[in-house]
Amino acid sequence: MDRRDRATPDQATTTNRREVDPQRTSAGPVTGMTSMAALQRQVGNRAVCSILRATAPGSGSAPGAPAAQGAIAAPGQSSSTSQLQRVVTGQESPSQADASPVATPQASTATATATAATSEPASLYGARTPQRALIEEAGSAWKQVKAKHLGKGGSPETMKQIVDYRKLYVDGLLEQMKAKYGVGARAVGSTALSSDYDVTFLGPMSSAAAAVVDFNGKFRDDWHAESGIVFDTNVYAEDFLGAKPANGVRDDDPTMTTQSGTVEDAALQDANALVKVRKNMSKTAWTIFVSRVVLSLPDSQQATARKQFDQADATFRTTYVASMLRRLPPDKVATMRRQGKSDAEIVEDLETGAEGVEAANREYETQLIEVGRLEKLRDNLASDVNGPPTQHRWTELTLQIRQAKSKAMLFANEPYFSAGTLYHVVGNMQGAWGIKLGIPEYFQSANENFGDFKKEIAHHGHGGEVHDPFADFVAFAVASSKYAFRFLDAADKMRSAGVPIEAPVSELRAMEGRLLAIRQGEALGEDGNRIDERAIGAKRDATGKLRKKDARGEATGDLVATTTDYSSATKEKKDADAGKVVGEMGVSSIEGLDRKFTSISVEINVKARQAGLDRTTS
Amino acid sequence: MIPTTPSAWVALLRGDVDEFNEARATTGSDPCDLSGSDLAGCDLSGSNLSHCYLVGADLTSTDLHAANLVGATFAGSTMDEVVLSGALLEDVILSRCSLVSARLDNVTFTRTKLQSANLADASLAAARLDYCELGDARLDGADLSSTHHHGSNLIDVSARGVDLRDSVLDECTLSGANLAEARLDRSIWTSCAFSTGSLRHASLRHARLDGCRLDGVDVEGADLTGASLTTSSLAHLVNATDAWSAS
Repeated sequence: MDRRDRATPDQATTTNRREVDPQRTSAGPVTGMTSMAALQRQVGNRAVCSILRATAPGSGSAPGAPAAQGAIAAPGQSSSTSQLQRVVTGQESPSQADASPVATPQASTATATATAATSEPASLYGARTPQRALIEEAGSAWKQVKAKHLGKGGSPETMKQIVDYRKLYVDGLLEQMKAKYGVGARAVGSTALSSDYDVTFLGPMSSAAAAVVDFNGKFRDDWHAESGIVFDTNVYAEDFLGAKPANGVRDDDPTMTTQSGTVEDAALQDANALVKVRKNMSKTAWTIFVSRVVLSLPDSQQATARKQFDQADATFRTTYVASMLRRLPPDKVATMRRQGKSDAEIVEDLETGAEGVEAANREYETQLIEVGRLEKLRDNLASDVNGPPTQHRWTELTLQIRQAKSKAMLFANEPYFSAGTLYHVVGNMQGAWGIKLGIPEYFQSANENFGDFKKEIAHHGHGGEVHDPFADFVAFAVASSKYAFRFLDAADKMRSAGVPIEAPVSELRAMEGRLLAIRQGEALGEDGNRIDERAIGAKRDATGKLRKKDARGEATGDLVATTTDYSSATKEKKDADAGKVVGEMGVSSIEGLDRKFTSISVEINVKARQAGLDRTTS
Repeated sequence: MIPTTPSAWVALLRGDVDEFNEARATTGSDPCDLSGSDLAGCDLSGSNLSHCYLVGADLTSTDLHAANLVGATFAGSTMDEVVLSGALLEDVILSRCSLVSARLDNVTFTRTKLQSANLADASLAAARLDYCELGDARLDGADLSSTHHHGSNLIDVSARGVDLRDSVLDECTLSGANLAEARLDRSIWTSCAFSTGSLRHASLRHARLDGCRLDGVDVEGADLTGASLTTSSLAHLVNATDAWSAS
């Protein structure tokens, strides 16, 4: 369910910094040949080849589209051309395309001849295939598809066929958008059958926004539902931050040229992080959380803290709730109001359903269009940016662009809201950027990832009846380990930087790391802890063994010593090990884990403020 | 003839609103940048300024009666004594605008941003403000009688002597707001968060503040005769002994 992918370092002003789920970057077993061959028979070789030609790097690099070469290379990332050709010839499944730049206009002499293929429409659009029939049988809802084919009595092989179909369908539609709007695109593939498949359009925001709107509209025309519901595929435009800084320190906004601007922005980012927490809590849970923090502070700090939390609550209400309300079915809203529900409760009740996803998508599109308008206006000033009046307007427009992007992110699926979190997770944890960060950035990240952990709780358990509560809890612990690990990593770094956090965040971080390794099919090292493949520069070779990378990034170096490798472990082994980990954590239920992490979050919020992080926006 | 430069757009707007509206209808969603323009004293009633950018413009005493301002940006503009009655004001950005003595009676503001705007002595009687951002705005001496506020953010507003009689504030946040000497008689507040603000010498006769959080609010000299504070949180209410007893 993750839509964040990576920045292209050569994009200095147009920005893109989303996350790649490490899970997507590990090569899975080659099991998709049968399904791909079947798919080719069903829709014809010409259709599949058309898509593959069109999605090859360099195959549709329309004029004006940003170059993406040099994008942060995720471990395991390889040329999508050869990879997809292997798919056609039955050597590989498309779902092995890890974080593949499916539609990225990467310049390549070798593939330049494929450019003309972009004019061919994607043939899976509207095509009646058996895979489509299977999806429709499940109510055109990916959740139901997964429940049916990955659940008890299901067939992973059938699911694999459906996942392959999804990838080819989306890639074909992507290619149409790319050719039509002159944008690049990045589609993040996955090795896990349970994962989503998200897309980010790259390029000038006005074009990227138009591509998002058109993609969503075309998909709706074909399926009469949102792609997020049918395929668990959400489409996005570039978001917030700039490229990897060259000098190892943050440099993410042209308006941050003054001390007051920097301070103001830092307070805004703190507030953004708290909005994430608020968004993923009920009103009651939020009130209790805030009270616990505020009442733990000295009297002299309570008012400022209270105001910070009130600001987050107000922003959540005036931007997210207000905008969602106008997009939700009026009759339903009216009925729920008559039942005594507040506007926030109405939105909370409806946001995860089809109507909520549709409302969020339309609002996201509206906000992207607004960002595009603002960028156009600012571009018009570019020729005379040094004149005093123009400089003032440049800054004003940049601030508005920044605010509009922040607002847009509220309606996207699982974005990070604050710059500190983006630097911590996307830059340093995933990109191994090594940017020097301080307590403020880690504080933002701790809050945001705690908020995402809360969202995991809110979304858990909607799949049906639970027969084994402990097994369900273990499954949740594994599923939520991504955010829990990041939350604890940020907390641990705050502690290392001098914030006197008493909770055993280092130990818990290590345990969550083991759960994360199970979740993502990674390995444990000789010390029993998760091996961070990016951090140590490791990669799996063709046989699946973990090796150090050579200078060219290939897995040809020394073998990395491992004690347990979950890339080939059985489900029983994973479940058993995960059960041991949660046992060591001393919790036996989702509620227990929630209480534990909430208490840590409260402590972090108290200690951070006591350390001086009580900045408020003016 | 469609204008091709910002100055040509401004000239057209100043000269003939109907022609301006026709030209805008022709250009569709293209951004219309009128920033920095001098439109002071102009009659722009009925104009279509939706999604226009008027950053830092001078709209002093401009008549925007019945104008379509949906999605427009006026950030940092001077709009003193502007007339906005009957205008469409959804998703409008009026942050940091000077709206001193502006005439905003009966206007409906929806998701409007008014952060740090100066609305001193403005008239907003019977206006409706839904989900608006007014943080740090100045409302000193403004007439907000019989207004309806829903879900709005009024954190740190300066509203000394504001007239909020017979108004309704529902699910609003007013932390740090200064409502000293405000007239709040018969106003109805529900589920509002109002902490560490000031109600010093304010008049709240027969006001209803039910289910509100009023922690740390200074009520010295406030007149709470006949007021209702049912289920409100009053922890650390400041100078409460000087206030008249609430019923």
